[in-house]
Amino acid sequence: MDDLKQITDDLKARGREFGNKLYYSFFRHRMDNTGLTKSKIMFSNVLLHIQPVKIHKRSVKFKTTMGLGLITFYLFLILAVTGILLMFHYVPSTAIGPDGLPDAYSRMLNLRSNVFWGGFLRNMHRWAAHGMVAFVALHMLRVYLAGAHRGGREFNWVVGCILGLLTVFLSYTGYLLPWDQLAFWGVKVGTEIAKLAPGGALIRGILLGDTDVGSEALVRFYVLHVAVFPAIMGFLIAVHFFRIRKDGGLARPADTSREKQIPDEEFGPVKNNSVFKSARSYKLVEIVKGKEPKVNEEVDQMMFAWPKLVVRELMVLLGTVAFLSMISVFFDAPLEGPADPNHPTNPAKAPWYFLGLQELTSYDGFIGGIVIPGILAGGVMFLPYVEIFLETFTKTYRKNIPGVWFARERNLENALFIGMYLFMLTLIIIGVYFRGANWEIVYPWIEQAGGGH
Amino acid sequence: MIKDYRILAVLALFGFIFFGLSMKKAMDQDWIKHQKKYYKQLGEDFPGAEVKQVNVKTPSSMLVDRCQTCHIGASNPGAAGFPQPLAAHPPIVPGAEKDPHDFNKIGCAVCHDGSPRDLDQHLAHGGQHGWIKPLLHGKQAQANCTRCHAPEGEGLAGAELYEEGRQLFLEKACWGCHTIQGISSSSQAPELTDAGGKFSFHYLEESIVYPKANDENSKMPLFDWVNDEHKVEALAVYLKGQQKNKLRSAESAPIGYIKPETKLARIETPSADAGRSLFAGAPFEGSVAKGGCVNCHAIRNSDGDLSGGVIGPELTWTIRLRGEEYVKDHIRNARVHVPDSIMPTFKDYNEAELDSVVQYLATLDFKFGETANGQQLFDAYCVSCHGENLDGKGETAPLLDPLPRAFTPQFVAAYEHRFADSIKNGVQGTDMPTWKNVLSDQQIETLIGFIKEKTLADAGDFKRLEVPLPRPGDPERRDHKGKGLTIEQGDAQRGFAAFQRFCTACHGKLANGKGPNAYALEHPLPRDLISKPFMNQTAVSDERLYQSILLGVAGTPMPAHDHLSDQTILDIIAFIRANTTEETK
Repeated sequence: MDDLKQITDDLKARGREFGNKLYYSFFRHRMDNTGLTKSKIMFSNVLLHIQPVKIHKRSVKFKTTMGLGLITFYLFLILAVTGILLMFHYVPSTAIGPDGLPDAYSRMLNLRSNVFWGGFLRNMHRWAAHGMVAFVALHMLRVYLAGAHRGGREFNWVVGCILGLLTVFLSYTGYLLPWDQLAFWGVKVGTEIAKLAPGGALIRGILLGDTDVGSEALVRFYVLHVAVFPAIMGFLIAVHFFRIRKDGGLARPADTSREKQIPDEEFGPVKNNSVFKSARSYKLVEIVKGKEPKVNEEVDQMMFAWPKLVVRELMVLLGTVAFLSMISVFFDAPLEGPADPNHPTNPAKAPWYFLGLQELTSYDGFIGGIVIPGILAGGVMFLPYVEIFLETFTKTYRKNIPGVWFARERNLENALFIGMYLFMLTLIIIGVYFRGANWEIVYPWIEQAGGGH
Repeated sequence: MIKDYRILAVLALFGFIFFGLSMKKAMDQDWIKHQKKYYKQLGEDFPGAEVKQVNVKTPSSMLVDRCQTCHIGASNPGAAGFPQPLAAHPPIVPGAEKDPHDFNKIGCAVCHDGSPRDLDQHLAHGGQHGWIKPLLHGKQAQANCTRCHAPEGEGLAGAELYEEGRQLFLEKACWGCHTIQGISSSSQAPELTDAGGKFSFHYLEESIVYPKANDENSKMPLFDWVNDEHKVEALAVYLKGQQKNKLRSAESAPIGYIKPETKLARIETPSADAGRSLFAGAPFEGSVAKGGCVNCHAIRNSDGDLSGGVIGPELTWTIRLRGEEYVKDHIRNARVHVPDSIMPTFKDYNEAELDSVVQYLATLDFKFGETANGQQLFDAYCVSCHGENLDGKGETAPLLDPLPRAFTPQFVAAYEHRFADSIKNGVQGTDMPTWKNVLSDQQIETLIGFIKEKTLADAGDFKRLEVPLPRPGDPERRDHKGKGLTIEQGDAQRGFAAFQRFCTACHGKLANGKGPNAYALEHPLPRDLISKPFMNQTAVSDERLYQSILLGVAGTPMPAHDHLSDQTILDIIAFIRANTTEETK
């Protein structure tokens, strides 16, 4: 009996040893409450190590970022996943089949009929694309109103603006791919607006590969949509995130000691087995010039990123996926008849994010097609530098308080920025809901007679 | 922290719910239910859901057809009484022992259109907004017989509605304006050779019933037979069948595809009977029905009963009014006589066919008796141009140039002495025909009496002056300013200068009545002064011109020009005459 017990104990011990070996080959750390483990979890995981081990407590508060940037990023991930799945079913060809339908369009019909889950995938992709454009805009608004684009972060603002433009281009190139009437005429209108800009005709020609939207344009838009733009985007997202970390995490005011903080018990217990009882545990390895990353400052306001930050990020991810799934279950992505260059839809509308510009061009081609988009793309992109320039040359140094919503010192700038948003939003709403056949004012609650065949 | 985990759990739950819902939506589809029901009705075990796809071979590539995923019993005779969508398709070729159409090879959409890739009923039936080919229900599918067969010629069994539409196309004279290759050639109206490829069935029906529904500028008349829904459907089926893109080439086609050589039997010897058939749009002794005048023009039989279309003028007396040559020219090209006519050009007619129509029209001999009153006569003879209210705005008036006369009180009071002659001999240079072969002197008197009675009631005591034409050298008609100048012969050179100064605003620089002010004028428009037939008729004397210029023309916008000297008026007359006398170029 003893022998048997000894053998089983031995086996158990070996089993435990084998289990441990397996476990440590995966995780390399324990799951206890010590600060060391919490640090190890963060920096030994490729997905988590993007974040620092310790973050400022205010970073996880909802009102700091409202999760807007994160939602944008998650939408990008969802778009990548659904987009790759859709690529298995799509052909960027305008060849007309015997049923009179272009190949690309037939694939859309397949997606919604006999491809399992295909309709849902397309809905997800479509709504996520629209959502991403919207959330990029909201994220930018948040950053500006919180003054987070200043204080060494000016260039990241520029990177963000390029990312925003890329988002619009991605959405726009994807808009053409279904090759239905909506896509064809939406893109057609957009490219006609591009003609108005100086050199726009050349860029338009390069983009379309033809004098008009056609099969060449479809192939080019496809390649841009699935390869070129996502690659640039992925790289710039990395730059964007990297700079946030190197700038010391989310922008925050110099003194946060008087801010209302999340109570310590919220972050889970920490068994402090470190010899450095009060300091940040990694201060020795990260002694660098300047204030960032801040060493030995605001120690009581720092906290371990694990698990609070990770859980909150997961919350945003799940919330985004759940909400998007709900929209995609209940609302189908629009699909009109196949693209027909001989039968314009009336009205022919660009996708909603360009409708503000289309509305403007309907008043004046030059202003709507060149001046305003120029101000939007160029002016907004270099806005922090404009601010610096004005402050330097007028010697009106204003105290910049990053990370604080609606700082009183920035009332003028904030008002102007909000005004610009409201202006574009109004134009977009007019364009989407109040424009009918022949671009005449209509009321959205009065049903319009459908055009076409 | 616990709160965070709870929120996370709730969100995860929602995520799974909607993920599950999306899966349910993907798996729990109507077509699967239909298939289950089908096998239950058959009493067989459900073999598992399957998308039944037919790849229809066409010359270019495959046509994907998934209709039988729901219409699963289409080719199973055992499913005859099943509820839709499971029921068997009724036989296509009547009387055939075994229907030659195998749905497992040709699918459904080849005939019925719709969106054959879709599996949702609404979408598959072409209910999607802007869908190019909405479903053709039931017999409407006969339109698509032409995609593989050629029903022209002897007619195709089972395509009766299409054949009926084909007859209608000929009978209703659609061919007169519309070209369908191999059937008609005319440049009057949009070509319909590919009507079915371009337009939906509904669009075609709509355009037949109300042409302006889809094209605001359509000149196509509103026919009265379009109240018959069946006829409209038949014609729309025929037009929908006109498609350039065929699914079969001549080699791979089923029987009946190769177009039989239609020998267009022509009428060789003119006869009134043949003309009658042409007029009615009916085939005559094996010839193709190529007529249909009756769709636009009405005629009266010997008893005076009116029948026919109201789009063109009544033709009962046209031969007696215009003569045979005029009518023949008019059939060949109506715009020779009426510049804005919408009548098609029947230029394909040979001489015998033209003669036949003319001979037939000549047999129409209805006349009103001497006892007919003025209202009757006016309603029969005059109303189509001069209008019910005698205002010159009859049905055909918009097509005429110059416009028919409006009988204003001043006009009638001033010129009634000219009426009898104008009616009897017509007015050259206008569309007023000669009525002497139709109306007796007595009837003309009655008519004039009628016009006077209708118009002079509130004319007051309007009386037009009579100013004689001044003669050169007449001592009585010296220059009004007492300068002692004697009247000379009118001089065209001086007249040209005066015309340019006083007349061009309305009559135009070319004196063709189309001056800049003419566009703003109401009904009686400025006279075309270079119309030779008009200017050279006896009724248009120098004296009439003189009076018209000096006193104006009663009941028209032509004002009095009593500020002009007699000499100037004579000069202007000389200029006008110089334009229209035969010798000058």
